Amino acid sequence: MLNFLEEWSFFGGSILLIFIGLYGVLSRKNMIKILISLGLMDTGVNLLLVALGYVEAANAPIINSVNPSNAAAFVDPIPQALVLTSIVIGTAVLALGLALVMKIYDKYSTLNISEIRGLKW
Amino acid sequence: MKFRNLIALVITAAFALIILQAFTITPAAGEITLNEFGKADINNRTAQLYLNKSVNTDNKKVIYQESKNLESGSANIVTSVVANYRSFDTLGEITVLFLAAAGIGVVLNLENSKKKKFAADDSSLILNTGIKLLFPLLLLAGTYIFVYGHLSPGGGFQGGAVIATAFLLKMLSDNKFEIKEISITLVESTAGISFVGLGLYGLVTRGSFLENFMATGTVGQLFSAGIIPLIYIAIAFKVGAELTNIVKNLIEA
Amino acid sequence: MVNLTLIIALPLLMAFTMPIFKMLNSKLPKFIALLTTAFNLIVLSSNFTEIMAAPLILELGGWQAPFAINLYVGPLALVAAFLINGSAFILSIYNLSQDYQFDDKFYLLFLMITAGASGMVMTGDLFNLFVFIEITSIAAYSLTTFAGGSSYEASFKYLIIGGVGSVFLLLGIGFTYSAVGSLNLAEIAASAGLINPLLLQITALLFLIGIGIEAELFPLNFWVPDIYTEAPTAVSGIMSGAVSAAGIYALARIFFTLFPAQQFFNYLLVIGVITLIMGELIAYQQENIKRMLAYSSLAQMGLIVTVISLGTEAAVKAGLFQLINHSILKVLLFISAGVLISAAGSKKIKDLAGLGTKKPTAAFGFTIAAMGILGVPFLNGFISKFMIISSSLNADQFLITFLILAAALIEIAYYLKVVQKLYFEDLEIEVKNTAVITVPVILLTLLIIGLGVYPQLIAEPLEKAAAEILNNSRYIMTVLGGI
Repeated sequence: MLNFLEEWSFFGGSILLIFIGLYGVLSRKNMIKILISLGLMDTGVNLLLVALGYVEAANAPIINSVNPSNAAAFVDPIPQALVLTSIVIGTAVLALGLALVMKIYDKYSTLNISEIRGLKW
Repeated sequence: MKFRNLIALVITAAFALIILQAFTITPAAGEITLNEFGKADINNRTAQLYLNKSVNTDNKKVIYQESKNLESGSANIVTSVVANYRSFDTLGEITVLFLAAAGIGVVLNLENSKKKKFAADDSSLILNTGIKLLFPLLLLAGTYIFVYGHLSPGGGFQGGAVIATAFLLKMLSDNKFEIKEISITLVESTAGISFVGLGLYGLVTRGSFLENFMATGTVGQLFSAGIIPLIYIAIAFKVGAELTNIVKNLIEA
Repeated sequence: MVNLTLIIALPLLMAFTMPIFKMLNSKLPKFIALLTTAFNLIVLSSNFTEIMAAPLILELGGWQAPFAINLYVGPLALVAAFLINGSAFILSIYNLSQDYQFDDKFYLLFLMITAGASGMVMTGDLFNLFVFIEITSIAAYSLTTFAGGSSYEASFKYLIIGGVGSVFLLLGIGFTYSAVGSLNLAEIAASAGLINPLLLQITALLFLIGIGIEAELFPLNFWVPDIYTEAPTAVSGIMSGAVSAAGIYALARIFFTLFPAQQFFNYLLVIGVITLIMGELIAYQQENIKRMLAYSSLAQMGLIVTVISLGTEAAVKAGLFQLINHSILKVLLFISAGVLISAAGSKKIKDLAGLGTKKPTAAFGFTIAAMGILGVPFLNGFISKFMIISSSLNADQFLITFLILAAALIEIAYYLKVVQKLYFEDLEIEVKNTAVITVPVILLTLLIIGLGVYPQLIAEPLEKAAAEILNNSRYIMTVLGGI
């Protein structure tokens, strides 16, 4: 039972985050909320990547005085490195998106996409 | 519930159902599928080579403070992946951040608009004093994080982000505090040029871009790991400058 | 022979240095961009014979091929890289007569969109592909906003759909890595047969969503018209000529090398045909010339995907030829349309009447490119259209052939409408001063006629590229051969 919960809280939970985000992107009309939803999707996929590289009862992949050799069990370092990259990319996209929102708000004085011509979808 | 939301819900649910199936697959004999949670098979992954530091060499053992002159000298394996085995990705990643910062500068069109200040003229004494005390400590912590990136958790991105936080706090509290545009530009350009420069030096001396051209030393010592610390220093300055720039632009617009 | 990594490394270096160049001299950035793209073309040419003989594998960081990031430059990647850097070079010449507000930032973004697209076609690593897609799209989001006006909304729209797409792409990468345990394309391709079929389908769907956005495929392409309409001309040109080519390349790489299964090609065929027909039909109704070109561009992407997913060697060759022609013609169309628009001060087709005599160079450029797209004999489009029709007939796809011909008819209608407006109608308007585009028009016209009269010029690369993409075991052997 505990195993089941653990598995689904990591895999299912991150998938859930992705799809809450997707629902938000598709259904919200406020630009800031759309960006927040996009952020949720990013977070979800990052969590999932880390979870896919997890090994039970293993250590962080660092060789130090606690784990003095590579014989110890380590979790997969590659997804962690990928996630580092993808977090930074996600941040960059969100920051750029926010800047665009500021500009669009200046122009139309609204955040509602259905009131902005050229943003309807 | 509005029609739009209903459509969104249907699309989302359909996608979620398709993708969740991936986790319920029981593979037939000889087939491979996603690993179960907590049962990632590291031995069959490229990761094993990175853990053994045996991509180019036939190495099996890495021992703390003992193993010498391995192909990649970092004790933190994630760091060796980020800044050595897959450093090309990392170069791409700081480029993304650089492009975003440049893009934000363009979008907000700062040269023409009046620059605003976030901090109030009379921001509270406690905030001001607290941040004055915190500022050098944050810079120190950030520096520690990126300098020890190859030995302990942390690295250029994290260190750079902490340093950017220090500047952000300063911008929030002190309305006389100002970072000159030109100094940010110079720092980010220099850091970027030195990253690519390190790569090109490897290309010229060793024959492939971003190749390590320094001795890797003993695992676990501060002066080890070849060019990893140098790359991390460049990244930290770049990320710090980039994030400061982004925050500054967003505040001043 | 110069190391091919420089195609990505040098633009990066120049982009990082661009603010400093700006401080030295405000005219410097545009020349740096021109020189860098020219240098890239020289690097590519110097590697030409070598790559035609055998694909080149560049191990980045000196790590042995399948275990870290490597670049794989075969004939196909070479052709695509030539297209990308060639378009960028031509557009840099065009940019010499343009003034942008933040020119250092414009040119650094312009260089990075080129480098990102080149990286997309050269990389041999799945996650690296993702990073380059992100570089390309972030550069595109920012470049679009240089036009001001409504470009912010267009850019925001693209940013959202691009962001969602990248999440799905990353999810696909995570699934692939978890199953196969490697990110190298060759290693994944080698064990793709072992992956559970259901998982394979789900992963393929995720990749289709992620890369379909760059390749402008049907349900994911509603950002294209807005971006192409609102962005500055040079940006529309590079998006149409280079980024979409890179997207098609990535799609072909994923579906031919990574997961070569017949069912995926059937899906791609359907998607391609829908994109083609929709694009042509909507293009026909447009009154805005840039929007018309955007939809025409979509339709062409659909055509290329349709033809390539027929999967025979002749069809793939025809599709690649069409891709090359599309890049050349669309770059010319966009720059001449850009000049016509700024001369008339309007993007409406009906306001362009009579510009044929007032702006002869641009009108000539537009006309010859339109003729090329329509497939007038002795121009390059004729050869590729002919190859497409004959290859789809040979593959016994009569319905597809019919649809392609019908789409071509619609295309003729709307392009001739513009040409007719340019030359046979007149409007009393004051023509504004515009950029001089004589050099790019001459260069591209020579290319168009050259390829039309003497298509053997690129016969060898095309032959090799088609053979390469259809034979994924050779790709795997080349990369994994060392172990």
